[in-house]
Amino acid sequence: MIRSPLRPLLRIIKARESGINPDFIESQEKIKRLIKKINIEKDRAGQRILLLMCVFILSFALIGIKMFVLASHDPLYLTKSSRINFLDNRRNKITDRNGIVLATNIKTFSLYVHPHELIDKTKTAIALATLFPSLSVASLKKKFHDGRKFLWIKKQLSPEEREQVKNLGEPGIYFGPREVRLYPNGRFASHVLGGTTFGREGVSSAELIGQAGVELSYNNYLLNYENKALVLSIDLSVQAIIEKVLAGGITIMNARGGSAILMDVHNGQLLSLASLPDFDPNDRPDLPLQGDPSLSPLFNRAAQGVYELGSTFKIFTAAQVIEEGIVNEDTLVNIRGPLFFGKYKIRDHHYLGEELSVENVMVKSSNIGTARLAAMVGGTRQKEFLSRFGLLDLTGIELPEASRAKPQSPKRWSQLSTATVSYGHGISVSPLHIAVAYSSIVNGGKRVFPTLIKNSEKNQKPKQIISNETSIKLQNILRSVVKNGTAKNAELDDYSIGGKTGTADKVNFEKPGYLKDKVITTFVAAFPMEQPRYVLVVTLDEPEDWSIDKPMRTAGWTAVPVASEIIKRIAPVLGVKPNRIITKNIVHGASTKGTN
Amino acid sequence: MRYSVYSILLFVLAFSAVWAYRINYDTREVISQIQVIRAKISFEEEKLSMLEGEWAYLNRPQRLGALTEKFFNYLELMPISAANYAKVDAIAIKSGTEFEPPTALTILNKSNIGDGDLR
Repeated sequence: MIRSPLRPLLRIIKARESGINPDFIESQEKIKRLIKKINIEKDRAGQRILLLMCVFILSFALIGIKMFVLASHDPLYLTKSSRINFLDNRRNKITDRNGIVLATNIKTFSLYVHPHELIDKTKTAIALATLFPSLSVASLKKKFHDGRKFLWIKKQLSPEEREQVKNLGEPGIYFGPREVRLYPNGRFASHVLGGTTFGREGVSSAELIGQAGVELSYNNYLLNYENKALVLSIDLSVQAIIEKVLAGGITIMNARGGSAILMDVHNGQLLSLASLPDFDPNDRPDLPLQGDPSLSPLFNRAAQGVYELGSTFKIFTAAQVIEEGIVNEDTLVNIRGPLFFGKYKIRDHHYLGEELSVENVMVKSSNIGTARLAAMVGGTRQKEFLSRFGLLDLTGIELPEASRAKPQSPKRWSQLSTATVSYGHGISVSPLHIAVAYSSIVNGGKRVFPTLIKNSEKNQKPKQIISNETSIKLQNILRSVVKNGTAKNAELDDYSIGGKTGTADKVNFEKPGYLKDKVITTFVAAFPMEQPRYVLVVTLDEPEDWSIDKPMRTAGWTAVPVASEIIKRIAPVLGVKPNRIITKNIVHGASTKGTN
Repeated sequence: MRYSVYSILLFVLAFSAVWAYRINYDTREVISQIQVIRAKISFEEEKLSMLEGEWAYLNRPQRLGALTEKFFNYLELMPISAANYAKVDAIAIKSGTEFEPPTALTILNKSNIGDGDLR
């Protein structure tokens, strides 16, 4: 910077000439310099203040943003983040309606190896192959030497196996904690529970995910540690009795399999859902790659399989004609036959006479009578009526497998279809559909939806689909079927049962038509008939009763006795009051013997 | 006056700084305690889950059925049936000596069966 002189010569000379003190000029110059300096300093200070202001604004803004972020967080954020370390790997337990554990987790260990840390690789390979015969020495040796740094040996170890591996004393062998799902009751309710498999796997943990059944449909619920145990509507004691009796029935009746469903008619809760053959969910078999999948033990005959269930459908025809006021239960129906639809003939199992009342058409299970009743309402109304009971849609049960059980009904609802559907042919539904529909028949006409969850909110405001009066008339008809009709074998002294049998020829999948001598028999029972509380559906696949000299295949001989035995055993457990109650004095001492 | 207000404010500032400092460290202490407690809870829950599983396994219907058959001579347990229902009036009121219900130990002692048989 060029500084101006303090005593500029020109001004000094001029000042001297005019007699002014030249020092005054010098002072003026000094003042000028000072003012300039002050201005420069002012500018600098202004810049500093601006800078400082920016820094302050920025830092306050940062603090403000941080405060806003903290304030807008859920207050549980901190606790959640500290909790996740311990509990992220939990899967909630599943219990039955009385709190008995059906599925829980236990801790086991997985086994893995860091091959580069092993001292004697060959010795370790031999030792491990000796402990676990499924491993081969050669393949282990190869894997130990191929340069990898990590190798899974076994995904699950029992405590004994872990101890044995530990005793090898080899460094480089590690155990990772691993939760596994335990189904303490083994095969019981296996189709309801389904099973689990390992999802994402790590050294320190592995995710358990549902594979089928409620384990799959409630996977997210079970994985959320904030939820409590999943309480099913299943009653384990009842389920155990039903599975035992059903298994016995299948053996005696030489059947290929069978299913049983017990449903509460008022809230749609399933107390038992059994399908045999079954499997052990602790060791779930693989899906069959070939053959008929419906023969696999994994196949749920109760909720997944759709079958023509035969005469059990007749009650819906009766329900419709009574509900619509076309006939009443005493109206006589012409049952002379056979009925002809083109070349198709409808006849009864055997000659039943010339006319029967509507009630007796059900009691004697007349196909001709039912077809004539159906003709009175026609196909369109019949279809609408069946759909009211949910017989044309999925049941909505909480089982992923059941989403495949879409009822199969005629594409074109002809007159012939109307006639055959009226007695359960040409329409395939699952046994669960029938249980749901019969619940509405006997519960006063309310539509219920089936559920496997105890506190389900599905049926809080049930819709009235038929009148209570019709329901009462139908209950009387069902009672008569057991008292005087095809289900006589179900009559018990202690409990009044009502129901309807169904025997349907099996569909031939190789060529059009039905298989000879191969049937599916069904018995749908409701009890106690004084005020129905439960519906039981028993289905047997290809049963043959050889207790007399010729094979008996009708439901009355096969499914009915099994259902009757089931009711005899479960009704006391369910607290259903028997018809006969001991009123005489019980001898003291006899009461000390307990019951199980 | 001015100085006394300043000194009070200074004191308040110092006090709140100390208070905030203490609260901060107390909170950290509590969080670490919570973590320890959570770890304990987790451990106990694991044990509980194991015991529940074991209990359910030991009480599985199959095993209870087998045990009932095995100890039938002593227990005489029968499946509950309609005949087990009685009116309250039909039950004779007990008098005299009190009946002592059998315990697992008395059953074991009387039946000469080892613990292993119950597995």
